[in-house]
Amino acid sequence: MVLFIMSSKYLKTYKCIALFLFILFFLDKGVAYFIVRFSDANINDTRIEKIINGKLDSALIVLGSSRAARNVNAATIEEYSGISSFNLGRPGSNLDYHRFLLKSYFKFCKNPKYVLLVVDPSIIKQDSSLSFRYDLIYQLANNNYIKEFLIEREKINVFYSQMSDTYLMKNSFLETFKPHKLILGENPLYTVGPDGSMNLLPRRANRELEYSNDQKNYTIDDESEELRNIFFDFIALCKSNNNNLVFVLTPEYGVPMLGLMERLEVLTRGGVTVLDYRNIKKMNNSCYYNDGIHLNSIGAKELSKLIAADIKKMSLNILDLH
Amino acid sequence: MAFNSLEYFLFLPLIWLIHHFLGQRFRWLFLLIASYLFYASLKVPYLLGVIAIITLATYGFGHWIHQAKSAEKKQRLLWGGIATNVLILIIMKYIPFLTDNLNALLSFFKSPISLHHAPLFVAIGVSYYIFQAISYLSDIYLEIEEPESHFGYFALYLAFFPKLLQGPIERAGGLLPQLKQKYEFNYNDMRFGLLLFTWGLFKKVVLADRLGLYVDAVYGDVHSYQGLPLILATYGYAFQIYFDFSGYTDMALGTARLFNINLTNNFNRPYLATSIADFWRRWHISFSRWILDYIFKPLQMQWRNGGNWGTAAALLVTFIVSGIWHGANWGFVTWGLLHGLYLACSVFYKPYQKKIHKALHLQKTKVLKAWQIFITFHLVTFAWMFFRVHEFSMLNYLFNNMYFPLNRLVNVNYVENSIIINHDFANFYSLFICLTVYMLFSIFDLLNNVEKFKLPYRWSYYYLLLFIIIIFSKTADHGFIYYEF
Repeated sequence: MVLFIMSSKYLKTYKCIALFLFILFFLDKGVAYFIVRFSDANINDTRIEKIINGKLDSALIVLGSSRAARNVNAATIEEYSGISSFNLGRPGSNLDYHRFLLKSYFKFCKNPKYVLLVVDPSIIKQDSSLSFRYDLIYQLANNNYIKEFLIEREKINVFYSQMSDTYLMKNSFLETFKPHKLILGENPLYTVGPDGSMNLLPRRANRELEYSNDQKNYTIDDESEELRNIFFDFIALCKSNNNNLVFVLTPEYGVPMLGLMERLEVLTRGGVTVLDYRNIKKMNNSCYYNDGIHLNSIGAKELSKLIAADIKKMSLNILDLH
Repeated sequence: MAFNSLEYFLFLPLIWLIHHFLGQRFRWLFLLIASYLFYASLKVPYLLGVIAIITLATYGFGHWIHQAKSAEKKQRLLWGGIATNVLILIIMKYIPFLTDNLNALLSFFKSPISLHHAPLFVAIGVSYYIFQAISYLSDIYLEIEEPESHFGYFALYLAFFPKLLQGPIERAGGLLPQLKQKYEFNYNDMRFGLLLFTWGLFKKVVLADRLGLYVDAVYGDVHSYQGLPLILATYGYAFQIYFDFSGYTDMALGTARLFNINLTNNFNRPYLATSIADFWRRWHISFSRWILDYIFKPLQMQWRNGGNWGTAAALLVTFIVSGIWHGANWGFVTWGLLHGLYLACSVFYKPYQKKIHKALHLQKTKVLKAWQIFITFHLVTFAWMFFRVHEFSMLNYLFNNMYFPLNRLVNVNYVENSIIINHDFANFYSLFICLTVYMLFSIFDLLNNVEKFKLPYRWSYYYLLLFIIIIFSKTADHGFIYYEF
């Protein structure tokens, strides 16, 4: 059998195959290296990288979707409360993503004293505008923690990821390679500040915002069981880590949704502090808003001062809930 | 296991290696076992039973037809064999469709009778090898072929794994001799087989699956879209189904080539067809030859006294059967009917068309050819809508909402939101790059010309293709469209 294999008839074929695979191996490494360098040069949101490298040690972290990223200014909270703060909010992200960030933070960084979760009315509903932001973690696929997570979520194949570094990093390339961005530059709406916040510039003066009198009611019929379980898991995680979990309802330029607060109380059994800023007179000024639910940078700072004051009171155990 | 699955990437080299080092005497047995294992990997045990019954029945009927003394007995046995195969096909695929439609008819006539809803069986591959079995029996009856004496080779003819799930539909005269031929390692065959397989993989996991992302996003939520996105999704589907099916075919042909077997090439640039008839000479070639030889020609012969009307009727029936073969759904039947109508009408207008072209001095001009390709492509794409969309209410919405004023094309936001659905820039850019690569590779026919290159250029092409697949393939699996048939 060995003589048969080593006969000159097949030797040329084996040599060809071996050489082909040998070159392929090195090409694969080279292409993957290029992708990593390319991605690193074009990514503006490095917060997850900071988390898994243990470079964040804030005592207060803010989590949530655009209502967290836009409406909260972590630097202001830090300035007015004296508690080091960092904003991990990201537009378009869902509760599953916030839980992932929380778990990662607990694993790699110093345990925070406060976890602020900015609550969307659709936090435990299937909302097509909110999803798990895999596009933000693909760039770190070569990190074992992220790689295992992506394998667990079946976003990458375990066998292929072992065989090919290019395969492992391909999603990073696909998410980063956006010629229009490379030519026009990053959209300023997605600029991340040094405190992690993504506050919006004030609207142009000629764009008047109308107060919305449309009364909405919270309904439980369309709640997602999966997201509800994630919600409970989120609370349990904070409890097991002895964090002060605080839910924040940010202001809206319109009539607040009825029933949301009550639903949160039922779900949390009153065991979580809820800071409800939706009816605050001070925030009832259109110049603070970019649109009906997002504050601009001025509004974000004002809100963050209020949050800072309440957090400070909490730390002194004399919180008077609004 | 699908051709684009990890299991297949491990299965194929293992099977090839064992086959390569095995003695000639046992190769057929090994390939047969491998084919059944391949079929068993679908995890639908009764399918093995189905193929076993078809194999035994067809083998038996083949010999009985050949041994029959009288023409009458031959014909009865032929119909018996065909009926057996068709009955199994009906049971596997059409019972729920028939019962649902019978129930609808009964309720229309306010009848108290209601039939039980029948279970739907998984029938992957069944349509293909049943058609092969029918062609085998017909060829024996017509004395084109002799029945295969070796049961093992016959079983392998039906079950040969590269063509088992989605064809091509091979004739006995083409495949059986190749299966019996002595296998000798051929480096060029191996190289071309692997290249063809890789090319098919590129078409499937990059082009078809990425187009599918766009098409599914629009057709999956059709009422959210109007105008340009609906049009683009319709064109997109025409190309998705082509890349999906031709990609599969290339992988099947490439796999078979590793074993020195040449299967029928099922595609020949179908969207460059200048007429519907030409389209069917280029699309799913093994299937269109089958329906031409075993349905159309006998019917045309039977109705030859009807002249053009006889031919038109034969075409209509042939393509309705074609639609039914594709699936138990009125959408498929309508698709088949449309193609039948296209061809039936052409029987009447073709003579006049030629006269007009001659009068206008357009014959064999590039302008005429371009026009014919344009019209044919749009007729085919229109028919594909019935193939893809089975609810008539959705079709109605599509027809009423595809229109949009052309001045909207200057609105950058509108065009951007139409092309990039759900802000999926990654998919858009991937498609743009890969379709460009596909066009370039096709224009220069690199697949067939690459062997003329020197080694460094040849290998550069191979590496480029591999890395394009690795980087641009869709992560999540999209099944093969023609599996359903």
